[in-house]
Amino acid sequence: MINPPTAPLTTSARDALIGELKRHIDALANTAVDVRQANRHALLGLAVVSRLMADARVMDAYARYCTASGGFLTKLIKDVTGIEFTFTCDLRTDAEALRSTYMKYVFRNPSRARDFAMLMMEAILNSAYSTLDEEKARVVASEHSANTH
Amino acid sequence: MSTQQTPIDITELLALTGRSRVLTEKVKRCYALVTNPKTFEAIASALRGYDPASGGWFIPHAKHAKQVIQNIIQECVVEPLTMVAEGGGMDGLITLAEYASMLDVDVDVSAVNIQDIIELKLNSCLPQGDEKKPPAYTDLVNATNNCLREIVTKALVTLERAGAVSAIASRRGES
Repeated sequence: MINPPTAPLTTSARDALIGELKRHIDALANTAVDVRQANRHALLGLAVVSRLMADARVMDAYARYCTASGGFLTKLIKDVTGIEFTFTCDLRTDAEALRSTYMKYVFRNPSRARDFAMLMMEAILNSAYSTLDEEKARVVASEHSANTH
Repeated sequence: MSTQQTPIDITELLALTGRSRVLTEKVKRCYALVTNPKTFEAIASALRGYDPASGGWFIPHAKHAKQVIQNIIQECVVEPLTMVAEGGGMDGLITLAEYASMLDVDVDVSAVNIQDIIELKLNSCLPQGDEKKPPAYTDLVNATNNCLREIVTKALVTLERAGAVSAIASRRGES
């Protein structure tokens, strides 16, 4: 089971982690050939997610986002990767399932595992955006869009 | 006898890797081997043998075909990929997993070795026949040729990618 840090995050620490998660997702999107590099970013991204769990706002934001979009995300993940993933909308449980599913596939089909990690971490990132103040969220989102399209 | 071989050339190989660079000597040699028609003529000859017991030519089954192509697979797939796969822990396993998935072999590479992967692939792409009724000779030769090309070509692509990764990491000062 993933154990998040017990000390709460400061706002600046949380914002920095959201930026760090975004960078790993961007890197994942740009490693189409290099599955080994993709694996490093996926594992680092998972580590960032576990650190973000120390923030109650992130946990709440994920639960709300997941409740609203879980059905769509499940279908998207199934269509893109063929993997059937059931969201619980509890970030700790879903992050653990994300890690175990990723590890199950990375030694079987690394490209599929990369796509799965990218979609899942993007969902977590999208929910975490709502914890940023409006101006910062706009800047981070536009940078993310520019890097992945 | 005509064989249906999947055409591959060096341009295709480079297009698959997405970048142009110097190929290693082993990759070049193996590439030359699998694109040389004489390789397949030799395989076809080796697949047909004289059986003194029956006084005629026998048609071997897929098990024999595996033995015939084993030397090429050992040199062009097992040795180079083992070097890559054993060199980097998790990186090596992921390289091997990419190779297996390219071959459409659905297996967890942390639980098997490269010989197992190739064995699974050969089992799926060679006609099996049985002791009583071997596969048709022409079918066996065609399948052996296409199967060997796929196994070696995808190993070359995997090595190319791994080489590209190392080269880029080196330029970045990451290794």
